[in-house]
Amino acid sequence: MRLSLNAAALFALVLQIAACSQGSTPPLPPPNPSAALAHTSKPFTFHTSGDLASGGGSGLADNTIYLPGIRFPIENAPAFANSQVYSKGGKFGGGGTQCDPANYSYPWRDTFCESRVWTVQLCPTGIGHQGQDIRPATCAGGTHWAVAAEAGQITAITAYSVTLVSSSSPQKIYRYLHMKMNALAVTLDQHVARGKRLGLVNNDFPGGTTFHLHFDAQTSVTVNGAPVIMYVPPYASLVAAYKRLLSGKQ
Amino acid sequence: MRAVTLRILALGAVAPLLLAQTALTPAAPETKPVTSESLRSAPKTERAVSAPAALEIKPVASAPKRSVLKIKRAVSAPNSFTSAPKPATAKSNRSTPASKPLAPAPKSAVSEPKPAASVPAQAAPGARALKANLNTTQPVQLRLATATPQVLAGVHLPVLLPNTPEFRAGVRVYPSPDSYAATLSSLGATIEVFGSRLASRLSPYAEKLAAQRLKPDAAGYVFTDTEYGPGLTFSRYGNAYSIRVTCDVPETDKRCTKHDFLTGLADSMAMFGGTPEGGH
Repeated sequence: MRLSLNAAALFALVLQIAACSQGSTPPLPPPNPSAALAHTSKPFTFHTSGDLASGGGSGLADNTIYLPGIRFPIENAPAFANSQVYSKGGKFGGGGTQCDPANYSYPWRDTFCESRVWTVQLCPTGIGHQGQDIRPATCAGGTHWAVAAEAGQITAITAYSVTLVSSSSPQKIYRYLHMKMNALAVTLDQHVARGKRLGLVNNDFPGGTTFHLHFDAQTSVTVNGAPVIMYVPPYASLVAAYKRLLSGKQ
Repeated sequence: MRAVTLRILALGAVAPLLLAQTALTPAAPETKPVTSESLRSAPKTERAVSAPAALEIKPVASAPKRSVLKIKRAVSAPNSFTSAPKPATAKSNRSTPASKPLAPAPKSAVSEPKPAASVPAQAAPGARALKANLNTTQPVQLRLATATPQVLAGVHLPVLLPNTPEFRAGVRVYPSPDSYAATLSSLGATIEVFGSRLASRLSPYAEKLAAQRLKPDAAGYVFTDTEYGPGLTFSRYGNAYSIRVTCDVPETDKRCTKHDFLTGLADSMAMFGGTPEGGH
């Protein structure tokens, strides 16, 4: 296995693998749709790019918008970008449940590069989480719609993910995970418009996970002058998209 | 983009290994899963030791303030591809892609494109297999079941795909002028292939980090694994390519717990269409 992992970091994180894979948190509590209601009227605030949750490792302080003009991938506000591992109810969240009101409140947290054992070249440690986790408005599965960030085509549907390839150039490869896969609103090969409903945010993953959307994006970038296709940090793009959503200028 | 199912139609003047492989390919899609064992039926090749590719990256002249770069392989670049006979579709007048309208780019992504600059030579990615599979006089001939055969000709980069019976029989391809995607699902695993001739520019800080971390293996592959399965990317002909595998049960499926399956796919890649020298 030719994994290019930092050995020290791997050793330190090996015990976290299960939890950090977003799938093996303690048994899920029953949904609590009212958990976020008290926070919906508060103004949107967010931590800066690369400012990860305490204990979550080193983030990438990069405010570059790599996904210009995207539609926020959850249909309606509020939505809460934050850690599924280092927040309440997470493996290293200090107790509580995933429906803790703290998880359904601002400010947002970047989760790109959050501690994982997987190789991500853009992370300061060379390993980390390759996308952004976003909780929908309430702690409920099968309720809130994930939507297309850009116009494009559905090129893959797996057991727990949907791939949307943008029509724009350079090509963006968006991946949506943990939607309710037996009730998708799209089919393979389907062309979708920006903002088209794709599926309901849920917790689909072997072993289950929290109710959230994992959203990541790959695109071609140049490194040392050579083009490669890499995961790019989506946080700044999502902040901008969310501001547009809140302002009604989608 | 349209999805098309690719099937081998006829034999052209392709590499002998491809010829042999193609001749044995059944026309009907196969239903067995893609496995490491099945990959062994793909053409076997050896690592190339040809000179590394040299890339030249130039900003698009007509879009000086956009981050989208047109990446063009230098015509004189000595690598295994340029030294090989060019595919029939690769005419010499295509060596300089024409400028074309490009999508607006984020202001914050890059303010100004860099001037053309020579790029240090690098190892030829995937050379061990690509050399043998791509040093052909023309692309592998295909029959497109649901679209016209010319559809891939509109892709202005080489369309590289794993050259396995399963891919030839059942891959879905989504072509566009500057990129393509391809997908094959096979009993618990989904394989996605991407190629792009355009690229965005990373922020200086991010590029510095990536440059430190980007460590291709001997074949030129850079691994981009996730908890959902392994992936890799590589540069070839001045374009970016990637493959990723997603398993229904990634923690136990050997196609996702080891790199063998992924690298086997990458090693088998062959050109199925497109225009090697870019747009025209």
